[in-house]
Amino acid sequence: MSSEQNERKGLNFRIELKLHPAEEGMRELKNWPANEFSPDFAVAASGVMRIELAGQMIGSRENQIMLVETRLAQRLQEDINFWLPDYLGGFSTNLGRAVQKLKDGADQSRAAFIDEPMALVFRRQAAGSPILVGFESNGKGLRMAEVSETELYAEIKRALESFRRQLLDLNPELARQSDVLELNQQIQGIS
Amino acid sequence: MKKKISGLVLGLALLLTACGGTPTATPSPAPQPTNSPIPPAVTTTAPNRAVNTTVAAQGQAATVATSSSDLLKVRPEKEVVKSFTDLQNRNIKLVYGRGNGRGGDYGWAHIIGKHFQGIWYDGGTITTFPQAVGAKTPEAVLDLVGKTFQDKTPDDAGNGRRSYVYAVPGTNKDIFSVVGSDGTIITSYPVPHGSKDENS
Repeated sequence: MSSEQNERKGLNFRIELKLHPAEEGMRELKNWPANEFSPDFAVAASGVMRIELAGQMIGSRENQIMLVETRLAQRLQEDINFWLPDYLGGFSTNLGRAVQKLKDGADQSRAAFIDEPMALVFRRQAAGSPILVGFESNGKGLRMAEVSETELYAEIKRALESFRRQLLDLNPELARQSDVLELNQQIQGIS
Repeated sequence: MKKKISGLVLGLALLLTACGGTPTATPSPAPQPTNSPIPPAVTTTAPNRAVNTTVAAQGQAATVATSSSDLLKVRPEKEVVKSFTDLQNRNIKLVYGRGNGRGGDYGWAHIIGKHFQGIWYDGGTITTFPQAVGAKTPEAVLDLVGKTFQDKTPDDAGNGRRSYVYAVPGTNKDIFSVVGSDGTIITSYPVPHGSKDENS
């Protein structure tokens, strides 16, 4: 286990963004800017995300969202899907905006999924207190964790950087694409 | 043996989830029973009604599709199923798009496949029009999608991508539509009322 993984092991909130485009999306991402996106970067850059809050993983099975203790998740991954799909190209910038809003002093913000009524919500408590990070599905809060501001920003910055890196590994030219530029600005702003 | 143990752990995990084994966790009710594809026959039994034609006012349909069977037929990706003008006088087009039940789908094929017929293979949840708002025909879905463009204050999330909301009367649901940077509808589906309206 790397030192970074060890460091993150005790975190109350973890998020992984994995680029997983469809065949067409992969082609468009690789060939940009010669070929434009059809119809949008967010669609081309589809993928999946994995979220862990306060020792539990968010999973789904037969169209039902469920929470599973992280220590059990690996054994259950054949039966429960812990990677939630979405238009990640859009969700990632939603996540960046939500963090920016918090950093600008807002009491709360949210990063909504693009294709399902689910969201990560962030609520500031009293000044200096940890941020409450929650996961909502269909308007209902399913899980909440307290995360220090520093840890929250670091984790989201790491996840967004990883997602941006996955895009640039496919095609370095994407660094000039407007959504990726916005993503980069958001990452820089989290520092 | 390994499978048996996995089954036992799964059973225990499901039981814990169902019993609210963790105080901060509330299992999400299943809004739809399954992610198995609904046989197309179910949807093709919908009445073959004609939809109203050409309305050019803002926030209304500008061109129109035809009938249930037409609305369920496979088309070329870029074929326009219907076009709209929003209240800000911007053109929005609903193209057939892609609909294989996988990430990367978009447009009418995606809306009908995932959010009407419940065809989706990539995990997560599947919110459908019939279950959430009782829209049981493709025409009804198309009508609700079109009504979202009457939104007076669509959310501009950046890079030209916009989202629109329409509160469905008599329900606690909204229809939420996402439009891509080139004015093409990416997706549209029901959400709890107000959940996408929060200024955040």
